[in-house]
Amino acid sequence: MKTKSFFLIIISIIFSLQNLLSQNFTYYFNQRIFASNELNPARQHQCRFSFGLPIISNFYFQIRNNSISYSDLFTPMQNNQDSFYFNLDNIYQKMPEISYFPVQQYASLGFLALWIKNVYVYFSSSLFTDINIAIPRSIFTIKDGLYFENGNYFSFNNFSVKTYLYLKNSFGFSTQIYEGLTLGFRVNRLLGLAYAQTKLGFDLKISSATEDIYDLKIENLKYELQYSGPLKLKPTFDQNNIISGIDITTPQINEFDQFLNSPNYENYSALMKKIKSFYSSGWSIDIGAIYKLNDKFEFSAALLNLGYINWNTHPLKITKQNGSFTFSGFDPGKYLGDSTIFAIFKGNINLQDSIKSELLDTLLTLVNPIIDSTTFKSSLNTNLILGFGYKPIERITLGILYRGIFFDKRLYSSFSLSSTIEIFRTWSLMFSYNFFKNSYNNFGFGFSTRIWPTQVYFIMDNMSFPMLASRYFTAPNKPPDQGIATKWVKNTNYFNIQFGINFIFGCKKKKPDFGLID
Amino acid sequence: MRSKLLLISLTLLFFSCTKSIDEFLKEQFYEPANLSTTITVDGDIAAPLLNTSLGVKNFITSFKDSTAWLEVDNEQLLHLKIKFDSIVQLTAQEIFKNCPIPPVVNPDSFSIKTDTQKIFLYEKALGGNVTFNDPKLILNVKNKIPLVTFFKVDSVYFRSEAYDQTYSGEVKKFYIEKPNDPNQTAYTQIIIDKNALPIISQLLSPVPYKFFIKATTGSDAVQTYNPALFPDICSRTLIADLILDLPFNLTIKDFIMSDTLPFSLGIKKEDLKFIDSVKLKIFIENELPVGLLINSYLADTTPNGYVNQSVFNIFSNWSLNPATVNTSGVSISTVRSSYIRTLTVNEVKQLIDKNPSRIVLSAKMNTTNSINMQQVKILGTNKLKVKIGIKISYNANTSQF
Repeated sequence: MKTKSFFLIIISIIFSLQNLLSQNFTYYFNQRIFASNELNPARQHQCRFSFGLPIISNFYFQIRNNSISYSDLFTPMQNNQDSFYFNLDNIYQKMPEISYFPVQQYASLGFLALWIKNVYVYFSSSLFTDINIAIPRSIFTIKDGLYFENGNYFSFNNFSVKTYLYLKNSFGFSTQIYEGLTLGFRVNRLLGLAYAQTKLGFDLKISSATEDIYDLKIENLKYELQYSGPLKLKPTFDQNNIISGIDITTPQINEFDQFLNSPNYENYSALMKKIKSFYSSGWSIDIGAIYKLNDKFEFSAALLNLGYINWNTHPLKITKQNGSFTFSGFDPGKYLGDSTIFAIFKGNINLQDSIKSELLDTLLTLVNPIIDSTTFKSSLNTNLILGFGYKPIERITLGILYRGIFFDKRLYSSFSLSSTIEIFRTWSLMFSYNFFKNSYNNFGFGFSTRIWPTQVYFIMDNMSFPMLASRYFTAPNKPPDQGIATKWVKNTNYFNIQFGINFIFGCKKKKPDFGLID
Repeated sequence: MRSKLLLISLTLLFFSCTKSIDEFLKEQFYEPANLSTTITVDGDIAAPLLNTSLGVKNFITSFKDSTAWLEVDNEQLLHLKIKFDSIVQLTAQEIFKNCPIPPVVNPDSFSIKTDTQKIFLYEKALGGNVTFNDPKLILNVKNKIPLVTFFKVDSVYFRSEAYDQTYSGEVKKFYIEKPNDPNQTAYTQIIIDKNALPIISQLLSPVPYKFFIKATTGSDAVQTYNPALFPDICSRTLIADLILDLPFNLTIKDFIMSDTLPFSLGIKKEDLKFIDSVKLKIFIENELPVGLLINSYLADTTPNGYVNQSVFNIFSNWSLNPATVNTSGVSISTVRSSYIRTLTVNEVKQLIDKNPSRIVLSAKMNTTNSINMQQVKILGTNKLKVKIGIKISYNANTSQF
């Protein structure tokens, strides 16, 4: 008993120090956790009634990249293995054509779930934040200069930064439609709070022809700035109708004070109208199905985030396509008139201002974009999930999961192997191995426990940081090249964390079911 | 119960760890602290610097004690006009060598000459010939003396380092106006062209650095004046301004110019730490029917400040080729010349060590087909298109910053 307790303490300590990273595959098959319903609307919680408070019921954070890890940045010197340098060639070779750096976060603003006869019904609200930076590998070629004799050129394309913030209010239900088959459906009302995206691409060519003086060409210049949000952005133009800046206006909410001073229906309507003007609307649906062949086998599928947001809150789109510009050298001759070139050297003629002005006009003409203030749509990143579960014995569940995410017109696939183990009556441990392109060291762990009347859970898909924490407590003086913890962290490029505390009631009735029963 | 135990164990473990988290992380992630060099980059950057068209007017400088300017005539031909103020400035007393001057003066001639120090042309010419088709000496005479009525060029003296020539001969006598009123200044413009002075075309062949004119003034008939009306007769003046009108319808043959100018590199070795080499490309498309053969080098100096020896060759017989012309001497097609030079950083460092302080320039100018003495026309529309580009090869290490 004491040994068991001590073991638990250690593991708890280790994993309670997880404060970053993990992926949400690990708990897919654990229907004890309400959040598993997010991954498949057909997943039903066994307790009769449950609810969650804002933030603490479900918090999720993820950061990752498909590119390089810490250890890729530092290469040991040949003559001295204790010294390092930035090997840009090595970093460049390891990077894919485009490196993505997504950061995602969502926080539950509360949920309510209950059984109504045979139908599991739930309402929830969550706040989502999504940031993604895409950097083309070609940016590293700058280290080799911008001029190439062999006709190569510097190409910088597919750089983008995208961020959006939206509120998701959901109503969902699931029910068994016939023996073994449960279908779930969820409709989400999306309130877009802010959206910003910028894209940039161009080719920079410097002529290597013998008879040229390194003429400089920018071709295929394309950029885009797209925005919708509470601030009002308005481009300003100079006398030549070339964009010269952007005015930003912050919204005024005088209607709030008016309502407080005189709380009548008219002022209330005006206030609601004002509030509505701060967000954009959208819809999405989630569909899920779970088929239990028997007590041992389960097949599941889900299609999530099929929807869009119609951004109509101060929408602004500034785009430029196929811009080009050639610079062949400065031309002081056109500013001299009848003056001699010696007047420049004597300072009688100041060319700097003229050249600056001309360059600026040329650049502004080059970048002079198309301005569009019409409403635009953005689609959510649709997810396809396919799962297979196997329960060899009562307290153990094994699962295989495929997840495909449609992002930026491409499909990104990942796989997960997981197991859920019940220990004692109120604890469950979840283990997973998650892998996708360029990331194969994601061993995940999670646990959930019931401390009446709450259920607490903590999950992450990559245990490297907790392992490092365990080293800190158990072997702080161990050299970094010994053991796996430090090496693991240095080779990781994918972290997330998810935790929550939910209130659950009516769970005492034991019911043979897939997953774990309280 | 288990939860309480967990919490207590966590607390005990947390406070039992003797090493700080910061220290632990620094030990585990020691790579940043052991970065010997950060980033080494090497490559090439290049850019065009200059792409411009210049006309002749953008190269003409002012002359000492004169004003020079270019004009374009109806046929677009360029004329270089050089004005020399007051090359003749004499009082009546200086002319008549006498004061008071009697009210009746018999016809007589008086020799005068222009200020010998005023008419400078180009002192850097070392030789060669410039033959203008129809140059003119334009004298604007301002006469306040009521007794002189003619002006005649007797001889013209040319001086230069290469030669010292005198041309003399019969030149047409020009009659000038005289004032009738003490407040009046009589103006007369005298144009001495090849009709008046047939050798004028060769006057600048070779190009002198200065010249002066010996002339005669006076009157062919008896002249009288009213002393009461002109009480200041002795101090009344005869002033002549000269405008040299040189139309660019000419032949330039082996015209050699040379000059030595102060020079400073303006860079230190530390400025070159990231640079491997620099390549300069100069392309010139010449629409002017004038070509240059250029030599230039950097030199150091003796303690006395005299040019000592060459330390770096810039141009060695580099040719700027003249444009092709038709039989009328008008440019019909441009000719391209190029200059491509690569300097390594070691060459520049060696040059810095040699401390050059002078740049010596010498150029030989020839118009198209000068060997056959064909005359060419330099038009106001003729341009020199200059393109310059630079490529820098660098090798930088951020520890050098």
